[in-house]
Amino acid sequence: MKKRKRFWTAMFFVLPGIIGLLVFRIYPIFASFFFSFTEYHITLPPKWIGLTNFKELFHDPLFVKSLQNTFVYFIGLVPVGLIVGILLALLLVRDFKGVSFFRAVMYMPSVVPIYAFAVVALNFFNPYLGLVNGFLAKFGIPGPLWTADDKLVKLTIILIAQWGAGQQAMILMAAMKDIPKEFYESALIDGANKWQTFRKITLPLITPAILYYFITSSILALQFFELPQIMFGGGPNNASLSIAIYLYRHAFRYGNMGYASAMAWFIFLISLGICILYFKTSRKWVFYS
Amino acid sequence: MKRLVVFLVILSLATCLLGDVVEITFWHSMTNPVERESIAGAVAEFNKTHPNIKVNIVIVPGSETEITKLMTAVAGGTGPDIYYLDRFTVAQRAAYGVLEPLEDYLVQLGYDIGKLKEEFFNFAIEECQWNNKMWALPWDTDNRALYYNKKLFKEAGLDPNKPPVTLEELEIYAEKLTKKTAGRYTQVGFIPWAFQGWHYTWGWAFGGNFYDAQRQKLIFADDPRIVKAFEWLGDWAKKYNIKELEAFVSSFGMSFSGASIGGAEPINPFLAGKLAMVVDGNWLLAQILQLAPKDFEFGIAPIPAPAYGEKNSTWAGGWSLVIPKGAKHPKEAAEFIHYMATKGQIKFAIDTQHLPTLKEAVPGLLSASPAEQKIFADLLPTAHVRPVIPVGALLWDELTNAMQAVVYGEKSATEALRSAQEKVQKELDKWLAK
Repeated sequence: MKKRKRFWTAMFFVLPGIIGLLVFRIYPIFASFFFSFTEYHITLPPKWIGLTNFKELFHDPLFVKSLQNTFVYFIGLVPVGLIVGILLALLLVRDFKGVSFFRAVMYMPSVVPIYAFAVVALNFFNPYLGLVNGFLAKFGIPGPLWTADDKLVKLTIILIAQWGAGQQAMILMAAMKDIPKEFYESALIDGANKWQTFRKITLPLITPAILYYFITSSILALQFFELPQIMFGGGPNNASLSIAIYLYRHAFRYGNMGYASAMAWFIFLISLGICILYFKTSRKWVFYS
Repeated sequence: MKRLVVFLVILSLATCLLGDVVEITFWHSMTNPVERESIAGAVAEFNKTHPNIKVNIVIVPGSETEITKLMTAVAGGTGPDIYYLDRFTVAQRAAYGVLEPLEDYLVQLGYDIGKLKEEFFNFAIEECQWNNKMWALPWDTDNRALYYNKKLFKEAGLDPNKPPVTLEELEIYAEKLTKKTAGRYTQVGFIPWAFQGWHYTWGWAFGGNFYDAQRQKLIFADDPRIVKAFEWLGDWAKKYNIKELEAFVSSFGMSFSGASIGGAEPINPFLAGKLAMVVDGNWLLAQILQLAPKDFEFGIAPIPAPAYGEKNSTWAGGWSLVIPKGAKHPKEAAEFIHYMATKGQIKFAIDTQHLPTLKEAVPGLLSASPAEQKIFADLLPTAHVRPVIPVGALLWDELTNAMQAVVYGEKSATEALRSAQEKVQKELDKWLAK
């Protein structure tokens, strides 16, 4: 009896959180699932149209383009981010004087608001006046037109996004710290070189952290929005348009909530597929001690 | 005890009196101090002359086509009584059921609609109608012309009093006014699609038609003049290298449309004397007087056109006042909108030098403005407006995408226009079937 009363008291205290979750998370998820099968313009009642929205997606050239762009972002952001993250983590996991200062510096870009970050990045990569091309010009190299070239703009964004690599570096570094010193000592005695210790000890033992990184960063890459939207609004010539930006246009410029919901669910299905793939293959490459 | 009774009597009397005053809410997004003050002045005047109505102003910042705040407020039943809406989206919002039929309330108030329409320029009334009904009354407007830098003309050996009239002249002048050092532009003569050089601007200058209102069909892809206009833009992009031009404008912190990239207010390359000619709106006039260096010499001319095109072509945009769906006091709101669109506009034109849609407001505008304003005022009676359809925002974006695909050499003009037309027509047909 007492136990039950305590349960309800506890429930009472977590109620605000649960209500918030239900109203602002769970309900919208189900609502958007329903809307994805309708034509819905917010102020008019939704009209059931079955799978039309999903079929329409593949006949919409701009959606196909945004899908291709998102694929490039995915390929660029996830592996490149991992390499940069591991390199940073390897540098900063060692103990030397003032290392905590450098660790703080590495994490700093992740604390800067994304908008401020985008503005600074634009000034770095401005083709005529930017620091990067100014630096290249010192060596007599004519810099590429980074932000102005529709062929290069995605690469520019991927490069810029690496400023946030401090996030994953932090997680990977924590994983590296957990590796017992003895492993390295015995490797040293056996005469392993640096590359071999990294390949055979460090890398396998941080794979759980890498799995975590893969899942979170893949989802973020598929929902990539802020940088291309703030910096280029999806331009030039829609070369930086991601699915999320196109979704935003349909939802809030054209008021096509149904079509936008279908896009959202399409991203979700891809994310789900990728996560299943990671988990299915994880047994082969993730090392659980 | 006695005191309490007296107090209660006074209180109840006061509430009775206040009860007669209807309070209505007006959302607008004019954050510019001059515009904001002018609106506040007109509202104060209205409150004084209409003792039974009190208008409360709420400033809701937002851009032209993104009206998420209004949509959610209307859907939630907490919308304002009056809203300041981009006029070219009136048909779209009316079709979406976001608006109350303003015309019905104006009729109830005893206004003669036919006579009222006569008071405004034709293009503005056109944009306020959907399904043979007025959903809005027009507010201010704007239109477009060619600005050129006389100093740069002189430097290049051109006659500063002879702006280009034909396309051939425009091409020759632009070439003479362009300078390059080490492969990079230091000065550019003209970028047709920069600032207000939109698809509509050139489509109309080339004498084309975008929409057949009678048949409710989009016809731009079938109009050889619009195809020609897009091809001309594509050729220009190829000749000057679109990527170098984009890099040039981005060094001023803007994209081709003049929109800021990266937050900071862009520097206008025309005002900086680096871009010799631009197609831009009448609002640039105020900026020139405010921001340009003292020795800045400029001229304004009609948009150049091919021989078969339309001389003096321009198009107008601007704003309107509407009653959102579910407004609590639509009748009082209609009274206020009528006041603002007429008396309010006369004041607004003098205060802000924005072009009015009310014919009666033009003399006041001209008396308060620099002499050049007359060029824009004279263009008003013949100004074009964008097709009045419920998918206007989509059409705009699709035409922009098509134009970009052409100038970036991704698609041919025919191909880009064809796919844009098919996509938008399909969406339009959905609305027309309702």
